[in-house]
Amino acid sequence: MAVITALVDHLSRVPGVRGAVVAARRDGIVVAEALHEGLDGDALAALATSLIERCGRVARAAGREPPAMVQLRATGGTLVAGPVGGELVACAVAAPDANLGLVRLAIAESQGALA
Amino acid sequence: MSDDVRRWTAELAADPDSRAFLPLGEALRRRGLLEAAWKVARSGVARHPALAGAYDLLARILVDRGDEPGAADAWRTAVRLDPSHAGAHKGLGFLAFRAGDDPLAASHLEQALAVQPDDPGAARALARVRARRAGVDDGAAPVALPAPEASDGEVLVVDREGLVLGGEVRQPGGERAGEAIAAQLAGAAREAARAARLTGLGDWQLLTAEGAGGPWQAMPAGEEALVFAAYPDGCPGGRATLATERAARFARRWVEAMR
Repeated sequence: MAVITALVDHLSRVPGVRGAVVAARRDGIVVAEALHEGLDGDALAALATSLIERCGRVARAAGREPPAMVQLRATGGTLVAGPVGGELVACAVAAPDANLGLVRLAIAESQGALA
Repeated sequence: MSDDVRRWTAELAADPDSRAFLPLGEALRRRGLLEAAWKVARSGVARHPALAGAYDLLARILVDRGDEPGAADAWRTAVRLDPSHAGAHKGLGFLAFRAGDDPLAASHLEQALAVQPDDPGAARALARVRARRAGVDDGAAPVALPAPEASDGEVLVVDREGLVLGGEVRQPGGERAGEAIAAQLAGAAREAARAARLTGLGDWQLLTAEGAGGPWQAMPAGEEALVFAAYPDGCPGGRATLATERAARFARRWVEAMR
């Protein structure tokens, strides 16, 4: 749990990140969250887990492994999500000027720590 | 949980015979909560065994679960119960198209359009079936990546209903994967649009997934189409993005030229 708490804390401190959640992959229930402004943690968790699941299906159709990281770029920023520890999904919502490299690095490090 | 899901759940709890299971099951399916959607749909079918819409819902969930034969059975039951059920005819039309049975696909899509003539997805699918039957569309029209530096990637152009418009992507073993990818990509694109909208990020522009086997990306190509681009392991993300953006611009013009 300490790794999870540290992850959302770490993600939320990256400049430009509006919020971060870690959720159970199976049902999208929030395990830990750190939200800066106006973000609904429950909704973000549900959306991130669902997006990871949908991308997994596309990957299977293409004969590839499920994604280790998913990045959704939109007009107002970017959502970055990745499975961590097999049963969890980490997700951060970032403004257009955020350092996405740091966000990705934090998720990748937690994937390594919880592998 | 959204307000709608709460409302339908409460309505169903208060009256288990309510037809609220139909919008509830569909909402859960669209959220990717297939187990929950499946339970709602099964319960609905048990309580309303003569309701075609219940089988239509069941079929859509089965397609999402990858059980197309099961979905076909459910849609056939829906048609038996209600021969003018547009959703069931449309579903059977799509399945027949994917299976390469163009006469059956055309028949079902024509019946769907007879009931819902304004359904753009069914109209596009029927046009595609007719083109394939006429031999002017082999299902894999060439769509080349326009950027030489991205020649190691593969591109697929699909419509928003999950049908291939052009291009092809192959699995590592060489099998054609376009139809299967297109079917799943439509759902992923809807989920991407929903996630971007509900998190206040606006309109989605690019979806990137990275994993063993290499990155793949999806991007809107105008209002009606999506581009899917798959790259080999080791392809830098920035380079893939440039190539996908070029492919999407190219595909958008290509789709407009086909109209």
